[in-house]
Amino acid sequence: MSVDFPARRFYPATVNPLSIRLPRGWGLATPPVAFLLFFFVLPAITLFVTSFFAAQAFQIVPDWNVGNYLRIFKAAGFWKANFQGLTNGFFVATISVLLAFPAAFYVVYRAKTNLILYMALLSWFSSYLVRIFAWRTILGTNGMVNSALINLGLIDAPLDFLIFSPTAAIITLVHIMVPFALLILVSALQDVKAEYLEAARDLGATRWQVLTRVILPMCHKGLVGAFMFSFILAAGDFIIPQLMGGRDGITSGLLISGQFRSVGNWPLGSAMAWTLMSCLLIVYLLFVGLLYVARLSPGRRYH
Amino acid sequence: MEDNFVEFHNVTKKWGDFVGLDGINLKIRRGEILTLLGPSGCGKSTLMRIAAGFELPTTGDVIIDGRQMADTPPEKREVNMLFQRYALFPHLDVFDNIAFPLRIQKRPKEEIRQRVEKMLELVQLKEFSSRWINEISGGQAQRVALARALIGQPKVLLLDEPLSALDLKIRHHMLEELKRIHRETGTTFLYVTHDQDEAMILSDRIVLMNAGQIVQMGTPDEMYGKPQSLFAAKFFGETNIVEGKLVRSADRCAVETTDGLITVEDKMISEGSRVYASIRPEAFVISNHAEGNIRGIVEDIENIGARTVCRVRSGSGHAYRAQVFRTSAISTPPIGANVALSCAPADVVLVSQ
Ligand SMILES: Nc1ncnc2c1ncn2[C@@H]1O[C@H](COP(=O)(O)OP(=O)(O)O)[C@@H](O)[C@H]1O
Ligand SMILES: [Mg+2]
Repeated sequence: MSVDFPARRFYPATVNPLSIRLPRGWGLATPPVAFLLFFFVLPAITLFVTSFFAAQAFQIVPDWNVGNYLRIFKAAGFWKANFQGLTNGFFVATISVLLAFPAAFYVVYRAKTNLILYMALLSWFSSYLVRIFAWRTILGTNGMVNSALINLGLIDAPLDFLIFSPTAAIITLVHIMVPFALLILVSALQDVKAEYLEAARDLGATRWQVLTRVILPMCHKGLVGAFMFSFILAAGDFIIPQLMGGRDGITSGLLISGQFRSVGNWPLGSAMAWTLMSCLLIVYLLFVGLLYVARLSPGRRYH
Repeated sequence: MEDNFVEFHNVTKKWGDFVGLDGINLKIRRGEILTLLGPSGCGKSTLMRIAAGFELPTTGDVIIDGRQMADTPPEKREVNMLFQRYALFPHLDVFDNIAFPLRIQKRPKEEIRQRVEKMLELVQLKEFSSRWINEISGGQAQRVALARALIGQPKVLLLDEPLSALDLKIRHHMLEELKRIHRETGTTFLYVTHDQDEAMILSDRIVLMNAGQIVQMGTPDEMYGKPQSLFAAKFFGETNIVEGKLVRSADRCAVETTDGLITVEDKMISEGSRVYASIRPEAFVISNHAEGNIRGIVEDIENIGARTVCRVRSGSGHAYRAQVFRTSAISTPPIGANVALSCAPADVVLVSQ
């Protein structure tokens, strides 16, 4: 959320502070919009259309039917996997935001340098797969956690639920998502100047009330962004569930990738992908609605 | 009646070795407008933030209405602050911004509505109650902030350079508004500014600060007419400063300067001590005859609105500024004219370094 104080507007809106001639109107937004159009909207529409076709022996038949969706609707296995994906998303998003928010608060209002932020972002220097395998060595049967617990005499045999379980997938996904959530929340909190927090305290708000009545509504976009970003990426991920999730950790993302990569049923895969996307949209609406009901949304009148 | 409402006892604030405030003793009376005046960086905001509870003094006490404030957090102090850049919440509209303190106190809905409407009336923004914060002007934002700070009926309102973000025209209007609102609410105002004109117009009393210390305290007239130091004399408006030695004869007391003797009132200063004489431009009388203390040549004439100021270069090379009133019978001397400047002994203020 951007806030401008009239007194801080250095240039009249019509004067361009750069001496470069910038495109007018939508001009500046055209490249990203074009990119999204070609690489997101068009493929998504193609998938949507394909989802109403049928697959027969190595070819797609454009016979316009909702058979794929009916099949998905009746497939308990899909819903179980989908529920597992959404569960991953929910825990990963919730834990990531809960971990990242205090850290972001510290970075924005307390820390004198950005050191903590850079240290968190440092994990991006190692690849995704390397990090997954790092967690396998930490959580594995002979991994650090189990060895340590055995050596301390706390357990007799390795805890096997630590690896190859939904919990392991969630731990690894949280590790991947926290830096993103942190970055989004830091940039959102930077718009909530310390002056607002002091003003609220001055007007009688306790620390908790400052959080719920000023900070959270003012960084609503960042909150929704961080939560949904981690949710969507975690719910749709098919690599971590495959490498860490074990038998119980199969997700709809894994099933979808299977349809495209091994089974070769593109229409069914497309229909599954659209089903997952609809579920994510519902999650988004629920989350935004929850914030609204909890009076954490900006732009509301209370009189 | 001495009714000290807010008291600072020996308040000192240090950051490491840096002394931000140095032994401040100050008593604010109930219902007055007291202004902290001083150059930027002299510690005005720090003193105000200590009163609000955002900073804790390194040593010393703050007492508000008889209560020690040392362990009272900002939200429990019956003191509200008007922030320099207003800090209105952009996620709430005008009404909800003003209602914020009452909602925090969980007042009943009907009471909130009535009190907010009363405040909107006080600051003359009745039609703006549903505007968002980015839809109002700087002057209106200022008044919303004022309403929000006053609605909880604080014992003291702290105003930290509230007009500095406004342009000159609105600033004068807002000064009048502040005076009216002060009159109508009877709230005690602690006002901070670095602008002596603002301080003169608004204040019941002025506290002049420099480098973390109180330099002088008094009514605007006292501060202008009886500065006690060179710093105070220079800070309040325009003045001529002449350095010299105090001499005394049987019938008069004077300052011996490089431009001759300037007669002053006898203030029991020991003879021979070095003093500074401060003479306001309007205290000088310009004449073309030889009588008068300071002789010189008119070097420049400035017309500033209703008044005309002559710059007179004396024999010793010192430049004096002397004011001529347009309406006075004496016409303005031409540039290059030989003139004499004189002034009544009562208008010469002697100050120390
Ligand atoms: N948190 C702080 N740490 C160190 N020095 C500070 C801090 N806050 C203020 N100061 C210093 O204290 C002095 C007084 O500041 P301030 O009260 O803001 O001055 P004013 O409001 O009179 O312009 C300044 O020199 C400022 O640099
Ligand atoms: Mg200041």
